[in-house]
Amino acid sequence: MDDAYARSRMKRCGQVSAVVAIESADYELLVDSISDFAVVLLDPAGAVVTWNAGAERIHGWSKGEIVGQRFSVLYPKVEIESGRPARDLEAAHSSGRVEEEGWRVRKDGSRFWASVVIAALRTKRGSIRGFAQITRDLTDVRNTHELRHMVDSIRDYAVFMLDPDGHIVTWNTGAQRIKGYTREEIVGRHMSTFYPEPARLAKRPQTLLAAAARDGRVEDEGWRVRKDGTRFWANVIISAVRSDRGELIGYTKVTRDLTERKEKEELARMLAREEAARAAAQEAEARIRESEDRYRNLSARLDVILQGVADGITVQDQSGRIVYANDAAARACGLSNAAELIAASPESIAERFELLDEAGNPIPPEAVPAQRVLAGKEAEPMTARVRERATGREWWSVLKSSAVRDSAGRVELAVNIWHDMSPQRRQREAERYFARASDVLARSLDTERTFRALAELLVPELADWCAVHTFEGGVLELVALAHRDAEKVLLVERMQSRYPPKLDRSTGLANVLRTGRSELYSEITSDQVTAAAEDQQHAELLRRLDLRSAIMVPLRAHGRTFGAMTVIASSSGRRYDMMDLNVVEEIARRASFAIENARLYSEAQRAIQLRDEFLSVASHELRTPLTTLDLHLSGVIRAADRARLEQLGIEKVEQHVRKAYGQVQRLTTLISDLLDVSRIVGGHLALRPEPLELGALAREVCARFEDELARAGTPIALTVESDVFGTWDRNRIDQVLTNLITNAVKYGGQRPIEVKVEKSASFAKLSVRDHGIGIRKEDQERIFNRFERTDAARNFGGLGLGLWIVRQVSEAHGGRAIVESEPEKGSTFIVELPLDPPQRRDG
Amino acid sequence: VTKVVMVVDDDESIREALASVFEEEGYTTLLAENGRVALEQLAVAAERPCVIVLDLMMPVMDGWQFRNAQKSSPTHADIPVIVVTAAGNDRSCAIEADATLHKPLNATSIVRAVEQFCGAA
Repeated sequence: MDDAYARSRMKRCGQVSAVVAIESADYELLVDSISDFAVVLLDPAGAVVTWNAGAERIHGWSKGEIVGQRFSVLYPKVEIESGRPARDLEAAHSSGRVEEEGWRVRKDGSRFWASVVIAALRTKRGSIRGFAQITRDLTDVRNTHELRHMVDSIRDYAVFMLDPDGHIVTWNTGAQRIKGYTREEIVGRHMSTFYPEPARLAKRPQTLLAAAARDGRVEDEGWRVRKDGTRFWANVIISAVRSDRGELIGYTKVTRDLTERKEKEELARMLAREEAARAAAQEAEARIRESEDRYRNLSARLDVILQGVADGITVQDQSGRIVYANDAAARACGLSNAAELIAASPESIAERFELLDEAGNPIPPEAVPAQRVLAGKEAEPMTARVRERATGREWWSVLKSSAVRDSAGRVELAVNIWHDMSPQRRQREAERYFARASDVLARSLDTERTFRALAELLVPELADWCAVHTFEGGVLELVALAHRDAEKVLLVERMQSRYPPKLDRSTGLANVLRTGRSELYSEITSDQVTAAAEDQQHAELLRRLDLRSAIMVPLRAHGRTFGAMTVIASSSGRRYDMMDLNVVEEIARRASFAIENARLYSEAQRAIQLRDEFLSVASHELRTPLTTLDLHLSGVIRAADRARLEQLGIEKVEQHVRKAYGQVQRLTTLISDLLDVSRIVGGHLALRPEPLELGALAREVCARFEDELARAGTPIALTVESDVFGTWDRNRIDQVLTNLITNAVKYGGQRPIEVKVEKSASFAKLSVRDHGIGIRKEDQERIFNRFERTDAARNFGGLGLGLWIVRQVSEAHGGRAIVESEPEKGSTFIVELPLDPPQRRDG
Repeated sequence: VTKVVMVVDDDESIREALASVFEEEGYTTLLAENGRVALEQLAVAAERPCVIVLDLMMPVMDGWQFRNAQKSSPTHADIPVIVVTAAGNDRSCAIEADATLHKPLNATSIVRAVEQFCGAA
């Protein structure tokens, strides 16, 4: 309890006692009218004797209801039970007066806080005549007091009052505790004392007061400053206090220290933030881990997949360094695995290869898709011929490159795919060669031109040079040569003429011609070149031709090898493989067909020409005996018509008839020869072999020619070395000898003819030699063909069948017919017949 | 004085047959088996032929060569030539002849041709 308050109350009570002490009737009225105090007289036992207006107002009982009752009814029940009323009276009795504050009860049972004074009333003798009890309702007082007490005792809040200007009027415990100032230190100072400098300068206190004055109340939170200078977080409520007339009396200000809360909040916030951050971090970490795992998984899986892909795949970083490669890419670069490729420098890899476009021109590095992508450009897939510089190995690739960009869109990686197009590409290339081969080879039926087209076909795409040889009748001839470098053609030709391919070798051209099988020399070493050279100069020539790789394929028709094609790679560095061999073989096959076609065509052409010529010759040859026949017979008829037969004479007529008959025989022989042609060509030359002595037959035939030869002045000499027996067709051998002697007479220029019959170990030899015009070397084989005659023989007449029949008959007997001749010196025709033919050719 | 008919043909039987026919008509014949022999005989002949019956296809010197040589000869260029050929028309056209007969031929047609240039024997 506040001391000052208590002292002021005691004074007032003393004044009341003085008034009661006045014994006067006038006082009765005065007392009765007092409404602020309950003034009650009690008898010595405590019963109510008097009851004034104030008592009735305060206690609620009327005078009639209460007089006579004991005053204890005014006490709360608990006080009555504890004997308080009696003790109060005793105390008043003994000490004269009791003053107390305490709860009393109204008639309606409600309590009120009362200030009660009980004074003992004594007689003059000093005996108790009663008590005066004065009661005041202290409820309002008590409320104020309790409020003060309460306010004072509040520790958690600073509750104080401000005057209208904001100066501090009151102070409580909480204010002291929170702000650190004692009442003495702070009362009278301005509230802005509690504000930090910036808020003070910003007139924050004034603003708040104005707001409170205007709105009645304002709430604020913010930093405030303690006496010791430390700061605390305050929640402040300022309320305006106004008088009944509405005048602003001041303000109440309640300040709460929320520092702790604030700190807690801050901490919580911080913790929450930290928590959130940690959670986020964890989440992020988890996500990263997950993505790493996934990436690792994916990457591992991708690697497995990519390693299994046939395409080469590389990943390059900005610097061009390879950061990923699969094994296919490594193999394409000539390395055994991806790790080696990743370890290699980009330059060292680039140096190994040359990229060529479809036309064979080098592709500049900056045009390569990977480089374009790394340079931030678009890159279309590119088809390129990749050539390994060291080996000359070539293949076709489609190069595709795409960019991996970072979040800012910068190119981080280039992902390159090398799709090996070689099989398809080479197939296409091969088909192109085939198509071109078919085209150029079919263009001409002239074999020479076809050979040239063939040699040029593969140069320079597949070959640096190409040579075509023919091999006919044991003669090897270079018939066509193409070289990408025209100057080298002369060099090759010089080498070919100086060092023609040796036919006795077991390898190379000789072997191809002999076996009809192709040869592939994938890589020709300098040792091989040196070994193949015949001498130092040859080696030098070969070295200058720079042979690297070669393919030799036969040209064949009807199972016969008639030539070979040699395809060579030199400066291009190309290295041939089986696929190239297949291509060249196929081209050779087509070329062989074309050449064979050309040959057959030219043969057919020649055959047609020969047949036409033969028909003209045959017609001429038939007309000759017919003319003679006609002249003889028409001569006789002419004489008969003019009745001059007798004048002509029987001898002349007979002569005409005989000569005519001779011509009939001549015609018969001609026709028989013509029949032989169709017989032999049709395979119907039937022999009728019989034991025969060749010498005797020769004598017989020669005798038949005697007259004619004697007339022509041509001597004939027959030499029979010994009896030569064999089994031959008499008529056909007769025909052979007759034809040979006829020719000798025809072309012998009337010089002596020598007929000889000889015998060797296994065959009979029949020869007819003349000393006439002879036959040129190049015609010697031809004259045995059907209808063939040399130009020189053309005017000699005859069907041109004689020698052909000689050869056909000889061969039908298993023998042969040949000629040895020199122009202007004569010819010797030799027929060899088997002595005892083990097998006959019966056509 | 008999009229001389020259026969140039490499086929002996034809030379003989023609000779028989002409002689039976009363002409004298001069025979040659090729152009060269014919030129030699013309050079030395006592009687100048009134006509030459010429085959075309002959060894040594054929009918065309002979005809060219004959035309360039100052003494024999004007002797008429009857070409007798077994060849087709094409080849015989290439020769400048006074008459052309194709083999086979009969006595009447050749005698008529000769008479055209020589008159009756």
